[in-house]
Amino acid sequence: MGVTGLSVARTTDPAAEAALIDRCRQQDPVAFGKFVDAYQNRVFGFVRRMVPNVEEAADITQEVFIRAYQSFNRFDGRSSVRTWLFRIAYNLCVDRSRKVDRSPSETSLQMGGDDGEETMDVADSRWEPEKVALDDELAGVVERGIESMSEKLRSVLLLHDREDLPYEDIAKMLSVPVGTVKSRLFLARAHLQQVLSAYLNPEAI
Amino acid sequence: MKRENNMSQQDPNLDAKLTTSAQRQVADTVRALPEETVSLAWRSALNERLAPIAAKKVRVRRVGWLWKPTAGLAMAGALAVAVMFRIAPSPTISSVSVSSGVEANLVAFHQQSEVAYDVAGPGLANPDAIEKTTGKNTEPNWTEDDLSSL
Repeated sequence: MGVTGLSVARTTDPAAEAALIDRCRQQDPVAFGKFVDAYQNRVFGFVRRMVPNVEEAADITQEVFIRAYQSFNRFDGRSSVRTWLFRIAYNLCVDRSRKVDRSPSETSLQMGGDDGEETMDVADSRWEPEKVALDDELAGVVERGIESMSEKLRSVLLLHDREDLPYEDIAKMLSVPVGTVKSRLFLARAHLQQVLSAYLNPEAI
Repeated sequence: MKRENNMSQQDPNLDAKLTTSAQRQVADTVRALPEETVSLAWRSALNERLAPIAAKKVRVRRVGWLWKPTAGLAMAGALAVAVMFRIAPSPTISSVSVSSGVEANLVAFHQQSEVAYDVAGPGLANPDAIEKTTGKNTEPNWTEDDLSSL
């Protein structure tokens, strides 16, 4: 599975990451290349789930890193670099949805897993095919459940449960109180729970 | 939106609700979603977009390295020239600012006496000359021979 970027970003030694960020602040292209390596998949995954169109998501992800490179010297380190990067990504996604003038909550379910398949990694061959099929199917259901949420619920769910950002950082990013972040997270999970229940127990409905 | 605001304001057990097993299961499911990966073509396109920006940054930095010392030297030179060639104005009577009436009278008297001396020479207008003249007149105009002839 494509966890390379994720594992790099999550297991990097803090001292090494601080040194890398310092070099990025000085706009060292080589260091920034490593930074992109570490975060490109995570940022793309977030943007891809916020923006239904894959090509548009890829373009926005590039824009995220270009903006990050241009403004790295202004990164003050008050928040983590991950929070800072996802704030740029979130703002660009919001800008995009404003430009399109279409609420992401109106996103239709037809934009489901099919679009994302071409960018998915090839599954590990050691896995059982049935299991892989089930996981893919289940993952598709979860993805469609996420897409069917409003942008507000989706962004909180992804930033907290997917990207492990703390409530406070998300609250600052979205300019809402921490309580609102928590309630949005609760509602998002409840929505997804309903979607999964309907998929796993169709007779119960 | 109204629903979430009501929840956050009214529900003090939101933290507890977020840690129920059902909620945690959903969170784990989201976390376990397969990671999306970008293609090599995407990365190469990003590098192409970054290259001119990086080159521009380097150019700006180089210009900055040259520009800052040059500007500093130019400023220092201009300051030195200004300090060295500044001409202090010579103090003259006309340039003395007269602030009080007594000073003004003194200056006016001095100027008048200077003009009078230039025109008439050492004469009546000159108090020293008057005093000298007066002094000569008071000097005795006779000798001891005159006394003996009496």
